[in-house]
Amino acid sequence: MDFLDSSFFQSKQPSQHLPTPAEVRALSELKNPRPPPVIIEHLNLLVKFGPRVTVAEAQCLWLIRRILGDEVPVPEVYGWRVDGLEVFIYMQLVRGVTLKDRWEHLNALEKTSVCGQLCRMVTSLRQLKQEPSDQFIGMLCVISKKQDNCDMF
Amino acid sequence: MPVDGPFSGVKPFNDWFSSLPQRFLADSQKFQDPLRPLLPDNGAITFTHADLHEENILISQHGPPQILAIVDWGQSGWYPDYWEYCKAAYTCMYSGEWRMQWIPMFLAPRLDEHEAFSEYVMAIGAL
Repeated sequence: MDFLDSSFFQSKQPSQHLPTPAEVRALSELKNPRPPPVIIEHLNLLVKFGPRVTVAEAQCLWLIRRILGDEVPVPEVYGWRVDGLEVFIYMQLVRGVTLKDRWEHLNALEKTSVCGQLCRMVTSLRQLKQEPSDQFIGMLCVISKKQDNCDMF
Repeated sequence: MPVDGPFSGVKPFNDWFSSLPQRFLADSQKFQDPLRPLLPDNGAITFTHADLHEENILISQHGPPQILAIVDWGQSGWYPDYWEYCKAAYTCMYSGEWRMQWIPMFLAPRLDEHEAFSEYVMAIGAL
């Protein structure tokens, strides 16, 4: 699946294509069930992949961005591949740091600001509603019937 | 760890979740669970990230901190409304500042549910 309208395919190089699963694997040093994502700086690309990664996550990212836009910022998804037992999600490399990394350097006012932003995001997420006639509980990857790959905890 | 579902509502989900610690016991050994009443069956179903911890929140490196992205949506889905708080509070230091002071600024604490949640999760050896 390629999202041809995403910024990746709309960029200057018209022939730019997503690297293949084999090319991504070649960039990954570790062979484990949860390989760290592969980052390709010059393509502004992060590839999350492995046997525990699900297509449902890629679809979720796409939907959140489409429905909630800037209210809940998520990496832009460029596409995904299923290769053998592994799923590859191609997404925007977000050039930031984790909150964990910067937290202790923030002052109380800045921490409050971050939590205020989070509060607006959680509120926005919680405004999504199910069809009243079709209410259920389930992880997205379970709903898409791929629960062998799911981790709930 | 078993993952099941989808469930038709909050009560079937709570029944399943609370049964996990006892799932290997013979029927004759199963006991009435004193924590089960802490999980309300009449709550709302909300869209949930389900792994909101500090490493899944990306912020700007310099200047006023701006949240750039929330990442790792692999566990997301439709859950009881207490799940987001319980997961967020469980995946951090129990008495740390993040849990005690800051999480409550964006997720209303669900202390009863959290008590049951953490007992169950510890009992099933997850996380």
